[in-house]
Amino acid sequence: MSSLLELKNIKEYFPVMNARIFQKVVGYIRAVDDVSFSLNEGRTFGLVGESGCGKSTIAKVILQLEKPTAGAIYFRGKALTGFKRGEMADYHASVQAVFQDPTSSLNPRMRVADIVAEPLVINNSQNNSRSDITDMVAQTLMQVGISPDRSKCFPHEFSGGQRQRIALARALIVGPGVIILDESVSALDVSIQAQIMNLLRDLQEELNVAYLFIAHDLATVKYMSHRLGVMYLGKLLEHGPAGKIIEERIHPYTKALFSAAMPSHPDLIKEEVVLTGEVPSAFDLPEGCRFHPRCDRAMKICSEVEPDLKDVAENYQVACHLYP
Amino acid sequence: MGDNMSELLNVKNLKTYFFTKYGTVKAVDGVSFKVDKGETFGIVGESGCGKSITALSIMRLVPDPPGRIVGGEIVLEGEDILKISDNEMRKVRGKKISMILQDPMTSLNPVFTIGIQLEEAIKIHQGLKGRSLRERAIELLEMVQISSAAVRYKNWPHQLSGGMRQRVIGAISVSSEPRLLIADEPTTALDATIQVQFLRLLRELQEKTGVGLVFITHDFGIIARMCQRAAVMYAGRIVETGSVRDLFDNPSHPYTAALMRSLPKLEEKVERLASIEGQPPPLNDDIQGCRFAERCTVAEHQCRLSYPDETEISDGHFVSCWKF
Ligand SMILES: Nc1ncnc2c1ncn2[C@@H]1O[C@H](COP(=O)(O)OP(=O)(O)OP(=O)(O)O)[C@@H](O)[C@H]1O
Ligand SMILES: Nc1ncnc2c1ncn2[C@@H]1O[C@H](COP(=O)(O)OP(=O)(O)OP(=O)(O)O)[C@@H](O)[C@H]1O
Ligand SMILES: [Mg+2]
Ligand SMILES: [Mg+2]
Repeated sequence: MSSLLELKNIKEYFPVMNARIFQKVVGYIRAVDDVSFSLNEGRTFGLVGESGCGKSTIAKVILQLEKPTAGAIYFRGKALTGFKRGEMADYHASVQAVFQDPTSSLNPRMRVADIVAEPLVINNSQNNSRSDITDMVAQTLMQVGISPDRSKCFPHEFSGGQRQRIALARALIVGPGVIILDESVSALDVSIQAQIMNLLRDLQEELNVAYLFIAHDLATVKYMSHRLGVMYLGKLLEHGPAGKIIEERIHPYTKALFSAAMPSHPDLIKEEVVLTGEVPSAFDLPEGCRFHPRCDRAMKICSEVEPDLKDVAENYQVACHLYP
Repeated sequence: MGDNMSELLNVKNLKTYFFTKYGTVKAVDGVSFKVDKGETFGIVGESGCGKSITALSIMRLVPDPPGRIVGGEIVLEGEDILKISDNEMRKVRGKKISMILQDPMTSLNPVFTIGIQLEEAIKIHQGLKGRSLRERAIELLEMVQISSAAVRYKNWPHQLSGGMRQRVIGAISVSSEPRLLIADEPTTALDATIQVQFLRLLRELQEKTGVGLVFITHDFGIIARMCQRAAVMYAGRIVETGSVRDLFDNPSHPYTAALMRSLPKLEEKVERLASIEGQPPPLNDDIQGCRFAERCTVAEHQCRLSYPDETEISDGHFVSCWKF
């Protein structure tokens, strides 16, 4: 298992302008604040955390839709900043994404065959012929469980789950090493969600692709992920093997977040940890640990010094003054 | 499920259709269930199965045209509210039934402070004025755990977080001390830790006021956490009703059973989720038989011919399936 894509100390700060004086920066939204993790071949890294904690921003940085304020991305061991044009094109083909809303990400006026072929046509490094492309589209559609007979249809002629399969086919056709799945199953009904998650797992097995799986729902993240990162206001607070984190939940925020998950059976109801205190904003972060205003175990130091991620076990890190 | 003394709501064979240029959409097609006083009854089902239209029918707020309640009875505290005048219904809506909607942004009016909106609601029902009106409003805000309620009272909706807005809506919806509160996916837009706060609030309000709660969701976890009994809807019909324990321990309709097997679980390891192939039928198809038959692994000839009657397979556990 080797690291395919590595994020090192990524920061993404969005400037906040003064409303009246044009171009005067009054502060920064620290959407992503010093985040490091890596994606491995054939493995899934799950990213969880509540709305606005920076998950999608990380996805955008990896896809180079946002330029990081600081930090570096390494692809197959080499920093992106040193990439030549050809290498960069290769990177763009290797890193694909599927987002939450399949309806808005598929062009309604294009036929499915053209939608799926588009990344191949844009990035035709192998100089595929027209008929090669048609074959590849048919093959990829079959891989995601859509009959190639329907490749002349438009997106609106498919159900939500089928549209998500089409979006996935479009990501797969260029043979990517990494697929970013940003809430890609969140909007689907449970019965369809299971279909898509199983498909994703089968494809991973077959193609050895790495996933970054972003979702609110902890049970789906558990089903998909090998490793896990728990984010809070731009920072990873806990980071390690998925099974271990779900079992141990070391950080007080991880505890609260997981205890807020709904039980899968009435016998499993537990009293939830109810967080008090207001959620601070990424614009106006508190001193010290960014979780301390809502933490029931906060000590004096927590409001003064920001804790770093420290090893609590092999490949398992937590950022909290209580540990290790 | 109770003698008439404890019965709050009895929905009998409700049918709500939409008459569109593409044909008749049978959004709710023969739905029956009962809710006791002080009980929390869940309605669970996938997108488009008719949950919201069932709720709007009980409120008599189905958009007409194109929608119309074409059959059935809705008996609230002994009175069929489908038979009363619009004027009388307006009073029922203000006083006896209240509803919380999914989206906290659209349910509050952005141009009035939350205090004014709360006072408006109280004024209609309780005829309070001046000081006592204001005191009651602040009391309600305190009840839903808005801290420094006297200050927040003067806030505009946009000055509150999503969770706080939803709590204000909670306060408004119980201000009339309703007998029945219908909550249609009230927490879907909220973060997990905020959802937990709001669900606890609803349980506390129920304990204090004895209000009967109809909780609509697509999340089986919320059903497990909140409800005593629940109904599973599929394509405009209820396929199974029972105690929450019945549904989780002995899901008997093939659809319920399949759904249960397709749910990812946080508490236990699931090797592979079962998925239900296919998708729900369009509601404007004139299907004579069971609507799930097309996707059902145990369907027989009979299932496609006519719709099965509801059978009570154990005390209070009803299933509509030819297997029984
Ligand atoms: N282009 C931008 N300009 C300014 N602020 C931004 C921009 N994009 C994101 N943000 C802010 O950065 C923070 C992180 O946003 P992001 O979309 O990454 O969150 P998220 O974890 O994906 O949330 P969600 O679960 O709601 O999708 C938020 O505070 C957001 O408002
Ligand atoms: N104004 C309308 N005209 C025609 N059909 C409608 C109208 N409103 C709703 N419907 C149809 O009625 C059916 C039931 O809709 P409803 O909103 O009750 O679904 P739901 O179970 O609440 O779904 P969700 O979980 O997505 O909220 C759907 O198939 C929908 O397309
Ligand atoms: Mg996001
Ligand atoms: Mg609805």
